[in-house]
Amino acid sequence: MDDLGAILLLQGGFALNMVLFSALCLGACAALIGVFFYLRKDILIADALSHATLPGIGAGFLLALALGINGGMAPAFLLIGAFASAVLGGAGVQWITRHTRLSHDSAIASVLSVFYAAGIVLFSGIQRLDNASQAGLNHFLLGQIAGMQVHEAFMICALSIIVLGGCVLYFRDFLLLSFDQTYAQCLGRPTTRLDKIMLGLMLGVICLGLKTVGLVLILALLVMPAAIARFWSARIVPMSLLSVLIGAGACYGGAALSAFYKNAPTGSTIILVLAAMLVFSFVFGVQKGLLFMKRGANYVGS
Amino acid sequence: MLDHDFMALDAPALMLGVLAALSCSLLGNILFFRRQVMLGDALSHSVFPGLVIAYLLGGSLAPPLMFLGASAAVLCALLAIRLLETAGRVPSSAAMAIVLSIFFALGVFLLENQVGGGVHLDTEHALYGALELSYWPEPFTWASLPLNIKSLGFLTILNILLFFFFFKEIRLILFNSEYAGLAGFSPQIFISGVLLLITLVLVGCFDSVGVILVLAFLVCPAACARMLCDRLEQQILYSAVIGISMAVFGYIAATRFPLWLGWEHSLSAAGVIALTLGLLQVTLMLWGPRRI
Repeated sequence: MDDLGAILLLQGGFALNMVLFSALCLGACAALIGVFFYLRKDILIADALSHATLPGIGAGFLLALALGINGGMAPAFLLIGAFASAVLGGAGVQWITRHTRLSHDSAIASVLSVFYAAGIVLFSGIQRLDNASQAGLNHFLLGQIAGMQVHEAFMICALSIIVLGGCVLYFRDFLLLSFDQTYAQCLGRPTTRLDKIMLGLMLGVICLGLKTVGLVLILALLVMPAAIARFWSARIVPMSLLSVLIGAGACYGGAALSAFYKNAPTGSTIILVLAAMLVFSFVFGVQKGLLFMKRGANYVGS
Repeated sequence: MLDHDFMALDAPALMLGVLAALSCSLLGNILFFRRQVMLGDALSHSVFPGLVIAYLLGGSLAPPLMFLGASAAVLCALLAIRLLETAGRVPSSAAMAIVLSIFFALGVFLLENQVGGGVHLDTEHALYGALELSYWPEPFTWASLPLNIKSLGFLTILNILLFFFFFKEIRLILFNSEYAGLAGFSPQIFISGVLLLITLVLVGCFDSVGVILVLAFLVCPAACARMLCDRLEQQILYSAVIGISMAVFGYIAATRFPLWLGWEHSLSAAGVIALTLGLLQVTLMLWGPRRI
């Protein structure tokens, strides 16, 4: 590929266009669900969940290997394993916070690091197995968008429709839950179930985003667009729309850049694009940016 | 007489593991009681670009340069978190999440673009931890002891001295920081010093334990000890003992258990140590005397 403009204008051929479009969808739905967790001030749970997928990926690989499917690299096994172990991790955080004296942040930190450790131990065993296909597993850590298959692109598109539908359907409930959970309970909303739906949608984004940006950096796709959008708007609907635009744009641009400069790893390129947007918004954002800051103003919900 | 392989391979790895676990579990207590454990995660991620930039500027990874680069990066990260929280009014969890991902992404980006393969510094070490790669060359004297063990040992001693001489002040700051300030012992200065010490320890653990696994070393011993007792003296003592013993047990489990089971390879030592710490924490959360 010799021209960045051509890549951006979808002149790079089918495979590249597919990658760009999936990146765009992924960025959009991560940004949308991220808004609620950002407003809830509970974004670090995403960090715990994304690291908690690792032992599931290792176990899924070993199971597929034992069953003799494609040398272990069976996407369905890896995906279901990742999802299951992240659910276990989320339940672990909740159990620790409720049933022991440990605080929420120590619960997150211990689940994150111990699940990750379990994954690393499994990976270190797998690496010594004399199996050619295990090299692909490393991509789950830092992301590798270039080798994307058609079915992965389809799954990401389907997921973005589900996330979009879920967020539109439950928009008011998610908002209520994010701003004031007690009030939501008083209104008789099924908060426990809504909480699970919200976490489930985020988990879907995490699991499908793993191979694209990697588990260390998927957190940024969830939190950064919301934080950037918050510098431009104090109202929830414009903020969500803006967040989706930013997430989609940054993923599209970052994926194109990393296809253009062959050495640039996709995940970190996308995040550096987001970082540039954040710095710009931090200074020029009309809502909370440095140039427009009102002295002593106190904003609700930030 | 200990055999040659043990002295050359196992002894330095064990030393590194024990020193890392001891210093992390001591300092972890401070983060734990201030409910800032995730700050430790943010700091360890931001050590990474500091090391890469120090390497790019200096052309080597000599310890003074490493510690300087990493401390500068961590200082930038702390300032960025603070700036986002105060001037940008970003919630503090989100500020940490943003800064840690930007810094880590910057490290990965620079490393993949500029440094290339064949250097001691690489992303795999940061992610996996490579405790078993430490090596003590032949005469087994102080002079031939690897430099990173010496520097981590020095930091550990500094740590123990800190807890030994400033115990009363630490207790005051953890449980009544306003009074500590009024009594003339500034919490801000003390916490900045502790954060600096944590940064240096994180740099010391960087390539042996790894960026993410080190979080288990920070939080798990403190959380385990919290399930056992209600007094700070006991808490610190228990967490140190748990850290050391799990480091030894975990290393033996990683390198020897697979052999006993008839498999001629070993597992990731740093990973197994973190996992045993986690399993101990689960056990104590279920049956510890002070779990609720």
